[in-house]
Amino acid sequence: MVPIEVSGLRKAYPGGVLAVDDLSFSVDEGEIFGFLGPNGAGKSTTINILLGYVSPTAGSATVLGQDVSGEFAPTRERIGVLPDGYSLYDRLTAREHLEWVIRTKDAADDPDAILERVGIVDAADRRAGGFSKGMCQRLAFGMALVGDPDLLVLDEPSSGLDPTGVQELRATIQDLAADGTTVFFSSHVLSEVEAVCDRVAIMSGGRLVALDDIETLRDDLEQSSRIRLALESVPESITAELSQLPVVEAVVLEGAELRVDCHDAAAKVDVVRHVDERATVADIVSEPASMEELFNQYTGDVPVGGGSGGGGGGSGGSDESGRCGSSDATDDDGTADGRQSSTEVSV
Amino acid sequence: MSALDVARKDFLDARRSKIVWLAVTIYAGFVGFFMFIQRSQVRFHDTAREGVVSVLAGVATIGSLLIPVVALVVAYLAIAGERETGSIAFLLGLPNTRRDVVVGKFVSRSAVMVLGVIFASLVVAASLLALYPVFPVGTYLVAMGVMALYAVIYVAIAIGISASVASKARAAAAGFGVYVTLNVFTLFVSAGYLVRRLHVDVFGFAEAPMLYRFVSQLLPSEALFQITRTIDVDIAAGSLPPADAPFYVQPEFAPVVLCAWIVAPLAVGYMRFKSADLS
Repeated sequence: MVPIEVSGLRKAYPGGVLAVDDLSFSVDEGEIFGFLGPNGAGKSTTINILLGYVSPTAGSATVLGQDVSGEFAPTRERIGVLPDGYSLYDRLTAREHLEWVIRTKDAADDPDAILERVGIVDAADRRAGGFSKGMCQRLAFGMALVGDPDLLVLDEPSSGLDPTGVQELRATIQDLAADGTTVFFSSHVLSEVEAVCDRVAIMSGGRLVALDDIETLRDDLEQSSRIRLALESVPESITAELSQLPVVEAVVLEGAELRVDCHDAAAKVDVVRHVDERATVADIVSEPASMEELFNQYTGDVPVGGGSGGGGGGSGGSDESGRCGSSDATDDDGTADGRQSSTEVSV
Repeated sequence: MSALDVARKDFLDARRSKIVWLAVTIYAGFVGFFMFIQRSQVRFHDTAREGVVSVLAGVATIGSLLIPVVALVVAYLAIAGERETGSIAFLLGLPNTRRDVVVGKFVSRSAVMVLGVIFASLVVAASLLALYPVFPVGTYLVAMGVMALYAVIYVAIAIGISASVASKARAAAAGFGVYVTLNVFTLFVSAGYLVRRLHVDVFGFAEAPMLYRFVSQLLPSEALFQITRTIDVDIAAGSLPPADAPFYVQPEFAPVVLCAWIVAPLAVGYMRFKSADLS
């Protein structure tokens, strides 16, 4: 059975916002599938459709063989969900959260074993209202693990986690995948997807801009490479001329330094030769493009200035705010209204 | 039975909320205070029993104003609050349908309110035993039972609102609007009077008293009074419909109206919640 199959998916919100446009992909059984894109690319909308929170305008989404627009609730017994921008129930303890999930899923798990696994067994009897963001994330991940689901949907799972937490999360995900669990892993941070995923889909502006295994993306990366040339003098129209070359992807001139991105490593020689004929080259630096740049290239988010190496994406879970809980279903002490619900923060 | 799992967890959550207990306690406190100051009124009635019954009818009148406020406070955030904070993603990430959520929330918040009414009823019972000459058990049970039903109606209305809107602010605004329309505005102008003005003055139809009466009694508070009038002979004099009037204005019809007030808001809320995009 195909864990996730999406075809021609489209979601338009009132006001003419097209969040997802003609999206098609499928996730294979037992793989760790990375779902990547900058904030606002349509990732969350896609996940919300896959979980039945939002209904699609057109197209279809099938999860574990069940159309999400139909009687989808029973299928969720086999899905573990770690949502993004959630809040826990402030007045319930960590153990009560798990007991509730276990009961609702008709699972036989031991709450303490799960708390142990996600590293918050010490906080089992504390109310979630006092939890840090990292503890909330651990508890939410633990709730997703209940009932040994066939499919795990993790939306920005490492947000709020410290580096140790991120490593533990990765290890757990890899263990589960080794046991046959399919993992759908969304993130706006490329490095973390790169570290665990077998295949990666990249979304931008509501569309799928790349879908490949991580190896192929790496190969692409090795082939695409950058050369930096320091010139003694800069001839006019050199950038325009270079852009004309079929092997050249992009040219940036900064002062007397020329940065040229090529389709493959062999093309660098052509670039050097071309420039050498027109100017005196003082220095040559050749470097592979980083994964971040490849990502930016796909998402049309061209890095400006900033220089070489890793782009601005950063790595690991960046923390968003100290707390994750928020008084929810009853307006306790009147504080809830003023408190912001934690939704996606832009980077 | 996912709805029961929703209810069980929600009840645990709600009963730890201070505001819920504050609201319930205020109601019980008011009732106790009323019982205390009304004890001197009994002697103005022909018999002690009539006097006590009249006081119990007064308890119902207080309830008709206070219970809606308490119930709206207890339940208006049940679903909209979870939508605003995002905990709904857990609720619906589990094998719960949206109907389970609406039904479960209704059951748990109703349980909170019924417990509140039971608590207030115990206060009434204690006052009757301590301060009053007689304890009319039948009348007491009818009055308290009707109060519980009335509380459940306003929970249903609050849940219906909560399921229909996406934010706490809108739920609060809608709840306030409903209270003013159903419980404050009608203190000054009855619904039947408005319909009569429309019916006679605007459309030029002949007077239809039974229609106006029927419309007035469609309000939950009026339907409640219909029932309390049957237990209190004194205040009932002259206000009950003639025996040959149509069945839909008779007190026996009031429970039907009250039950409709439970079903309709829940159904409307569920329909809107069912098709809502939660993001």
